[in-house]
Amino acid sequence: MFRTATLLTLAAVLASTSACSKSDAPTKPAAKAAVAPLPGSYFLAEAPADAKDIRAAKRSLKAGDKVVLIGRIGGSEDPFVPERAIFTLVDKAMKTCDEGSDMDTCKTPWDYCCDPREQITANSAVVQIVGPDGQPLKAVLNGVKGLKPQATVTVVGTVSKAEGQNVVVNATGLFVKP
Amino acid sequence: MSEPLIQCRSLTRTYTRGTETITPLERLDLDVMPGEFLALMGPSGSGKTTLLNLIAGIDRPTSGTLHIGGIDVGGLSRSRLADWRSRAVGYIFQLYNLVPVLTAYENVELPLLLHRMSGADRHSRVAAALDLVGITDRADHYPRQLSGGQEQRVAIARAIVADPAILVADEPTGDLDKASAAAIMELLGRLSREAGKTLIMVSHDPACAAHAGRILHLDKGRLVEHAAATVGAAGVTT
Amino acid sequence: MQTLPFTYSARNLGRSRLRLLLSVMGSAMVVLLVLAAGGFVRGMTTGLERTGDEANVMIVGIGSEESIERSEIPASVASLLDASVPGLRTAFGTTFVSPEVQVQLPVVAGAGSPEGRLVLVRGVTPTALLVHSQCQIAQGHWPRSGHNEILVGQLAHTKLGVSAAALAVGSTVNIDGRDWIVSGRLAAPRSVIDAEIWMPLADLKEATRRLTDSCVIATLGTGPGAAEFADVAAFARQRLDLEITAMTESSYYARLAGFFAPVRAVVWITAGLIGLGGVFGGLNTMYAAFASRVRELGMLQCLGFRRSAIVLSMLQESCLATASGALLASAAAVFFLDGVAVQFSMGAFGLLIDAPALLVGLGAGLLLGLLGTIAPAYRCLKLPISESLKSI
Repeated sequence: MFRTATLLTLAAVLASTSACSKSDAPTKPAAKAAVAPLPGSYFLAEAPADAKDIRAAKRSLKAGDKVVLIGRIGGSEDPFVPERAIFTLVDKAMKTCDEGSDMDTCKTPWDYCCDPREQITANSAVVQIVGPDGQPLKAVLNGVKGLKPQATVTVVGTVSKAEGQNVVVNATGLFVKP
Repeated sequence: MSEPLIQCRSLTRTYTRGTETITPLERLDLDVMPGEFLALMGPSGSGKTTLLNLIAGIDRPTSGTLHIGGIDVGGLSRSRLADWRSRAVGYIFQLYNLVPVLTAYENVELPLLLHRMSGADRHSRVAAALDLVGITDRADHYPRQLSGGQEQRVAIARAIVADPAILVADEPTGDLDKASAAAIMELLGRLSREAGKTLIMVSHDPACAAHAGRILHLDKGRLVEHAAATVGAAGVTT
Repeated sequence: MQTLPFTYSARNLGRSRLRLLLSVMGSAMVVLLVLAAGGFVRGMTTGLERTGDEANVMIVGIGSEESIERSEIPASVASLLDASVPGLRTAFGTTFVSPEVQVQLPVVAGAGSPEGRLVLVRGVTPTALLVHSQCQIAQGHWPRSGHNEILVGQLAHTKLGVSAAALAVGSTVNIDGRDWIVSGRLAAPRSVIDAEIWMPLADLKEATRRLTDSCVIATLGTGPGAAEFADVAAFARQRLDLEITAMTESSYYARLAGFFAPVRAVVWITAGLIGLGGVFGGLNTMYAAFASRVRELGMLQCLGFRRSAIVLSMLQESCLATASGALLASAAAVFFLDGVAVQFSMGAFGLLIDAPALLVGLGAGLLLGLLGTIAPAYRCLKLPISESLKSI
């Protein structure tokens, strides 16, 4: 109760002061420096052996496992996160919208919009390249060395999280199928 | 003997209205000397206003040549002709054509706006022109506050203010009573005699034409006769 | 080119007072209409733009990026975001993270429609006032959870089609079949939030029998270590199981503004068509004005003034009249149109007669003068000078 009352007061005070100072112009985040592409050292020259499909692999993965996964970049309209080394990889068995017969005009076929969301989630894994702080590197991935939506990628790395459908792999190497 | 100021050779003007071709002026030859006061007379449609407009540079000949002060006026482009008019010709209209929203002073000042000069110069020239026509006391009046005779005096001041060599007048007394007409003709005569202006006037009124040094009669676009009234008239060569 | 004196153009306006009155009032009417259209477009666009704050990031369900009302995300997202992304804005130990439910519900108030009108109802926690910095409680108090209390925006009555008094603090409003008491008035000037109804998040969830939130809105921090949009987007991506995605609040509202582009286009086209009628009226008036002085125009050419100088003078004359009308209309618009509330499907907004709208209005006035002059000027000046001089 005390906490709620404090919060209310705080909110009211802050809102009224900020409303006075910012009602005319929304706050703008600070300008930031341009983000560099992911260093070439993360890209593998040859395809790693024994790559597993995502759906099958997800059943048995645990945090800390070494893993080699293969899949296609996709799962949403923008499978990359701008300026962060993270993307979603979808099982190769999933058909993109342009591989079906009636959705060949889809502009973003890699979002699998013709499939139910649960199915996309079940067939997806998150791939990230992290820095020493454990957070995704500030780097651009989309468009670098063949990384693009719908590209087939083999990922070598360690499972950082495996909770139900949520599998996150910290990648150490990427091989993009030419 | 000096050169003619105006030289017309085979000057012809035709108009086409639908399928009909009208020739108000046909193969006219005419020389006008500097300082001459010439009256053009003739019935309606005889071509006198057409000749006046050609000399004033507001119309162009269909064929023939028109040289004024050595310049082939018929060959000038529209914009050069406009510049030439602003320097060489002062036009006096039957209906005065003063701008009703401008005062007498401002009406007279109008032609000077086409020339580069200081405000003081412009003022002195407008004042001189108004003085010459005897209307200085009406300088601040609008045309609606002036009599017909006074309006025509303002119009004459406007015609002479830029000091053109030629003054053309189309029935300048046509809208005035006798007394005013006489005063205006007296003024025009003075401009010709004392200021040395070459004056070409269209008139139906023989009394007005009598003020001219030479009278030309036109009929159906041709000169039919001319009366040399005074000295200095050049011959008609047709 | 030697031009005619400006006094000539100005005094010409006084030749016919009736014609001057027609020109000025005609122009004023057209410009007022254009200003109303401009105020509508500016009000709508600015309302949507100002609702979205560039420093705010929204987390919504994947696939619901175009409509938060369709979005459903687990209620845990807000606390997960707070715990996972450092560098969000904080003050006195409170992170600027606002879980919200947004839903259109039928609302009946006062003497309004008995079936009610759909109004955007936002379920919020007190942190909503932190992330929505343009909002403040103008009157009354924050609604207490469990007390059937709501905050109503200052333009909510417009959306409901009732008087402002019907939503006064203390009055009762029926939302989706249940009565709520107005505990306060919410002010979010020039924002579409001004037409919303806010209530405690838990109450709205309970009333609508839902467990999920629509979205979470968080404000990015400032200075070193501040989170960036990409950090929140990465968080959303890492939680594949939550099926969430991040977008900036400003981009969401910019996209909404884009959806209403056809409405704005229709408004402009309507104003344009009526303006065209104004141009034809202007053509008539100016033609009458110029045709009555063809002889004078011939005389001016006879003196040596070029046609371009005369056209310029004519333009000055008509633009002076239409600009006077435009100024009158601008004054009227600033005093009588600015802030007038208009309702639209998303809520309500006030007409905004700001500098861009006024510039468009003045531009329309000048264009009216310009278009209304060219054709009559051409007709009057195409005659040969000798013909003009014969004109009666």
